[in-house]
Amino acid sequence: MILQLQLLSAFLFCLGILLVIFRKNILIMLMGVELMLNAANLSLVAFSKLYPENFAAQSAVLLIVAIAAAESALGLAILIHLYRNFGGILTTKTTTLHD
Amino acid sequence: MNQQPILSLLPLLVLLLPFGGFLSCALLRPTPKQSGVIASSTMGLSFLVALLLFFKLQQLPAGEYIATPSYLWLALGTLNLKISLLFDELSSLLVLIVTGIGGLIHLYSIGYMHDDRTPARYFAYLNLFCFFMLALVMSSSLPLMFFGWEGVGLCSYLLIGYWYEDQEKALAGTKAFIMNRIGDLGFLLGMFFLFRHLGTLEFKALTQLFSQSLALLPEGTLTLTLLLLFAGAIGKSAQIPLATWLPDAMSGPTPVSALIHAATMVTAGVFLLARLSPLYMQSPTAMMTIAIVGGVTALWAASIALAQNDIKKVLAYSTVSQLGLMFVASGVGAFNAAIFHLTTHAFFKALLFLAAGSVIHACLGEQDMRKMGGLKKIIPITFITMLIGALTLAGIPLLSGFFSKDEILLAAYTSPLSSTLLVALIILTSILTALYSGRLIAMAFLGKMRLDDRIVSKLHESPKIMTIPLVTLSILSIFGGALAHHSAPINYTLMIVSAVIALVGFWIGVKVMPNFKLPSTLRKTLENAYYLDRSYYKLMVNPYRRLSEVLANFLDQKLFYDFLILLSRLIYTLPLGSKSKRLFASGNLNSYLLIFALSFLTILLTTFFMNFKI
Amino acid sequence: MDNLYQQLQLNPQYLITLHALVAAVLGVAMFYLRSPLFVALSFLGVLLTTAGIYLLLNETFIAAIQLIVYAGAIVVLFIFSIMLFNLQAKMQKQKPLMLLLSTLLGVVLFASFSLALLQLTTSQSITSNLTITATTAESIALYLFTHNYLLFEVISLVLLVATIAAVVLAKRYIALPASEEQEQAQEQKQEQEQGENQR
Repeated sequence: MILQLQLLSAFLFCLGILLVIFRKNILIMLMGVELMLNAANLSLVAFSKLYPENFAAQSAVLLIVAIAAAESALGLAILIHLYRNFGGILTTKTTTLHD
Repeated sequence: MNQQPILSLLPLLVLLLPFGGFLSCALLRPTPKQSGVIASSTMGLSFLVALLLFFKLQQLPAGEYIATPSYLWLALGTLNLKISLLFDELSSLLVLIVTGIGGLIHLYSIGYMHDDRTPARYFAYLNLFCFFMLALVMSSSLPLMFFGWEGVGLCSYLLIGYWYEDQEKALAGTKAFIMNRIGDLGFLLGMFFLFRHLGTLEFKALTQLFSQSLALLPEGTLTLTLLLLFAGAIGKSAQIPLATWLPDAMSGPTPVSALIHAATMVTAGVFLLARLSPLYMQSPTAMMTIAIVGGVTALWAASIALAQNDIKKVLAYSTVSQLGLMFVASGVGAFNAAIFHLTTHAFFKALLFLAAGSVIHACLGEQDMRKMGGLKKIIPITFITMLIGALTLAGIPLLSGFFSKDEILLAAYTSPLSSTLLVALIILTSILTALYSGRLIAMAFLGKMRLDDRIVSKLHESPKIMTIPLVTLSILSIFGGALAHHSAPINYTLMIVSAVIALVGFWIGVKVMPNFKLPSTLRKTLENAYYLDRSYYKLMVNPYRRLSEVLANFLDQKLFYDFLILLSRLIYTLPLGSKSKRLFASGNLNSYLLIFALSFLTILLTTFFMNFKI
Repeated sequence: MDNLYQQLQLNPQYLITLHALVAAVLGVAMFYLRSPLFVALSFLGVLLTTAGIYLLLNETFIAAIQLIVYAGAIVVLFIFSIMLFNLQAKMQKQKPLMLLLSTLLGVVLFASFSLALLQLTTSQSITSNLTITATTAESIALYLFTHNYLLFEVISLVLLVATIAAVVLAKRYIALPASEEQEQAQEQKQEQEQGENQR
């Protein structure tokens, strides 16, 4: 059972990476990051089932959720900034890094 | 201590009154006049409470003391930091000095700073300083003392650099702060050592431990610990090798020099040794080090004071020298003598600084004694009070300085911890002290007027608010000797020797020194304080600057930056089409992320195929 | 402790597999859908199915957090931003080559992760069936406040900093201090006046 859940977690994590790498929309890239965090949570919870008396995983999940919330709030704030300065939130527009 | 609860809370009141003054000066935006009144009145009230406590303490049987209920500040594992305020024989004296002289100096400051732009800031700093100093002297344990210790360091920094628009003054403040940090590291380490080996940091507990059994610690460990703590005292009390900050600290306002850099803060090192005296008595090596450092510093600074022309610099070096004498006294085990000299020194040195401030005030900011002279008739009150201060400093018989200095000499002469070298150092220092105090008076007040006509026309005696503290302090300087309580039998030979030294030295200082030409090499050496400061710059500061320049210009700029440029050039020389080259530096986030993910994947796969267990 | 699924008398093992499959399909959909809104909705689906899995594992508290914070707060935030930025008009088609490349990379990534997992299966416990024990909020709280209290404090600080940072970042005209703005406005005025004079 745990193996299946771990495979799902890995699958979702890979999809998160793909979303971040290949989508040109920064909003969707952010969703990819969230998906990765979610996959990590799933993996933690699944593994915690091996040790019923230990709640380290659950508390870690709680903290990760908090981080994820903070991250998305910050990410969207940065997004607003990008939108103002570059006139859009596609990575094709934000190419000032190569100068 | 079974006392009435109100009595045991009074030390807290003494401590918090200056803090209240600080808060109201800092936050309520008082007018210049109000800020001075607030600051002085809080100090005055604090002094009255301290006086009340002092009389209550006298009524208690010997060995008893007043203490506030202890408060558990921090509990971490085996570390239980309890703090309370102690008002015992030692701290009561210091509290009276801080609040009493502090109050007088606050009063004086109202006159001195009357045309300053931000007096509220000045008085806020001054009150905050008194708060920290009181915390330092009344603390019941080393950590609380360290809190006060750092706090007075901070206030000293703020007040030295009070006129921060002047770069030189701001730098002097920074210098004092940094030099003190070096010593404070020693203080901290010593504290850690003590806790590691004894498990407590409270003075009373430490005293009890050391009075019960003798071999608590291995000799070496104890000596190391005590020397580390002494390093803190060296920094705060400006002894060799950390002495160079105090003369520079004179760039602060003169009342600040009087309060912080003569009467109170710089004596904290002596106070620390006195607090831990039962510990120091166990280690002859540490005691010897203290005495020698103090003796050498005393002679060093006294000889420099002989060649300085800035009126405040003379007093600064004199302070260093007198502090050295106090350390000699501590080093030979005469902690009472050290504290007694600390007290009289606080009187007469504060008096000298305030009188010097009055002179500077009268001369519109002129500090060079070569340009003064003949001020005797024009500012008589200042002249008389400063003369009393200088006579006390020189150790003229029947003034307070004579008794305290005599006690140190006596202790050095009789103590088993002492040596002929120390006695010689003290006597030489006394001779030089008498010489430079005579020279100071002669150059500033006697002889011909050498001031510009522009200043002469405006010369005037200082206002009453400044002369009242001067007169009060002169009375204290004259009669402060009454505080002495002799433990050893009086040695009349020594007394006569030191009296003759003082009288003859002062007379020579007045008559001969102002026109005496020292050999030019010697004069230059003395004027530059034996090149100690300059050698620090040569040995430490400049190499450090050069190292950071090398790191910044060569390592960072040339090596790393140019390496990156080189890497990017390398990619452009690859045999690829322009489109695929742009994949590396397109500025597109996606391509960077792709490279990142591919690198990550490579690492992951390599770990597997190389059969590393994750 | 009976949960919803046990009351429906279904075998949780199969239900978990079902949820996992749905989550996987929705995840794939996230990648191939073009409209950001649909991506966000499939993301919501993934989160909901994950919450279902938590529930089936008897992790009621975690499931609730998942629903409230992730599905409730974060996804709503995303959908709001999609509305704000009006992204529907700016969709671009992915190039077929890129699609192929990305799928390939995805397969390689997943394969390597699976390899890593399968190496761990040498330990028996990971493949064996589970006795699903319940975790209460109380026990998590106990653990959190005895073993992880420092982390907890740090997280609270991080949240505070993030809040302040978000406010500062999202403020208008952060790049230009007020004085510069005024100067620019004055310059523009002067230019306008000059233009009028020329006319």
